[in-house]
Amino acid sequence: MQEKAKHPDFILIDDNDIDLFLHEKIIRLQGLSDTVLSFRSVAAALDYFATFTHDTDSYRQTITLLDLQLPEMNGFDFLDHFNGMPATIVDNTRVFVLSSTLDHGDLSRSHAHQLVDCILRKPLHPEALKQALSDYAFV
Amino acid sequence: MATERIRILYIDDEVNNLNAFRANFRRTYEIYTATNTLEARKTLQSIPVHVIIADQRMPGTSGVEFFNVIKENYPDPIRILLTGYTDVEDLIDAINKGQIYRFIRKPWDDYELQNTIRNAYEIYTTKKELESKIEELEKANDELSRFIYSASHDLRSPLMSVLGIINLSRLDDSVSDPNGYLKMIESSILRLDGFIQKIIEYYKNTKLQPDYEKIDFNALIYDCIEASRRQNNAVEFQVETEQEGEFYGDVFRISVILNNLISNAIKYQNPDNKDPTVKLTAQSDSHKAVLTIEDNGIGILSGHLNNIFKMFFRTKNINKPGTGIGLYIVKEALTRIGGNITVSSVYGQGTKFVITIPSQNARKG
Repeated sequence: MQEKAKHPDFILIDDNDIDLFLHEKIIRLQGLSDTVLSFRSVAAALDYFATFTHDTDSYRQTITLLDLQLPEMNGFDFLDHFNGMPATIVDNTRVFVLSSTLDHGDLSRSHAHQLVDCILRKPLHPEALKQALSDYAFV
Repeated sequence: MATERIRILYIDDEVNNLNAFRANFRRTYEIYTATNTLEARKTLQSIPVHVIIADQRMPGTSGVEFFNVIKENYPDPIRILLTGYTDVEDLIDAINKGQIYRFIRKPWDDYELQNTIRNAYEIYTTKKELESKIEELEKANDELSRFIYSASHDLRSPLMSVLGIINLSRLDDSVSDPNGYLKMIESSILRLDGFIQKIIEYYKNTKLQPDYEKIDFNALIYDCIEASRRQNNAVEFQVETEQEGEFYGDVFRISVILNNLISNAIKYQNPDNKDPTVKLTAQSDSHKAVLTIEDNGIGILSGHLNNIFKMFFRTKNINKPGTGIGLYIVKEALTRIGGNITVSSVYGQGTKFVITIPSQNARKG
């Protein structure tokens, strides 16, 4: 059985330290979660998810805030790899893209992606994040 | 080009012709000869020749057949056919299959042949120059695209971080700021970001091909108002649309035009105005649409009316500096879709823009 936590865990994937700091602060200040894990690369985040592949029962419900433009592997690479994870992990994860991009191609690709629940814009506003959580969080 | 000698490959099964050609022209050109097509191909493999001259009547492969075969792998050299006979079938064949530049009749006239070779070489070099220019342009275009892409991210990303920090400082109330410095930083950042967004918009306008679809002006106008409304919530909007028949247009550019004009109408309101109003109308049918955007704002000095559509033109006497690019984008976008714009304004009372856009019904479906 899944451990039913009061709040989901948050995973932040962004190469910008200031943004990671900002987003973690907002989550904690708003009391949205006690567990916020920050990853500065897609590879590091994927490694984290991979630690659950043989023990999917210990995986807790997670909200992932995903930046799109990262060096080496970008947000879309993350989505491709994440898609191959065990169903328990994928089903218990919500992915919110969080980017400052105005590039139409990137935005429409994110929008069309089956794993992306919604797109949030930088700077992240607490209200926008709360709205996304109430729209897409686990029921 | 002046230092390069013209390289000619001449194929003829009659050795006497080859020798005569060589004797006449060896001081003028760099000459390669072949008595059959196999030999000729060997030469082509190693020598980048400019002009190929081939005799039509050869045992085995004819000149036309030879040209037809090699033009796949060696499209650049200019092809000249030498023929002793004026066989109509040959001529038709040559034109249709071999893409021959000129025919020269045997026995050739030295002067005529020399002229032909010189002209052929000029075509060769012009073609080459054109190719390299196209390549340069494609490269420049590609670099511009990448620049815009990175501008849309690398330039904006740190700005968004700064805005995020300002927001956070308000959220946790950790910064004492009695003089409102954070607000000033924020408004400067927003201005810079607005400018970056305009540049990207301008670039997209010049780059994207128009994409025509059916337009519902009522919905489009309300969408655009929604995008700008929060700049000043006091402004009242009045919208009237009349739509007869179906109008087809480029939604992206028409939105760009409306967004810029609505945003200006809000921005250049008089702060003392008790009821700031922006009135929008749209009348459309299957031929054209006429849109008006009218505000009761600060207006434009009549001396400035001729300049407002110029890039980076800004009026000085107002406390709301613009980027000087919005109306320029409007004008450019209208040019792309065949529309036009007129403006009338009374200083201190308001401004009215009238836009006419032709419908693209022929392109529907």
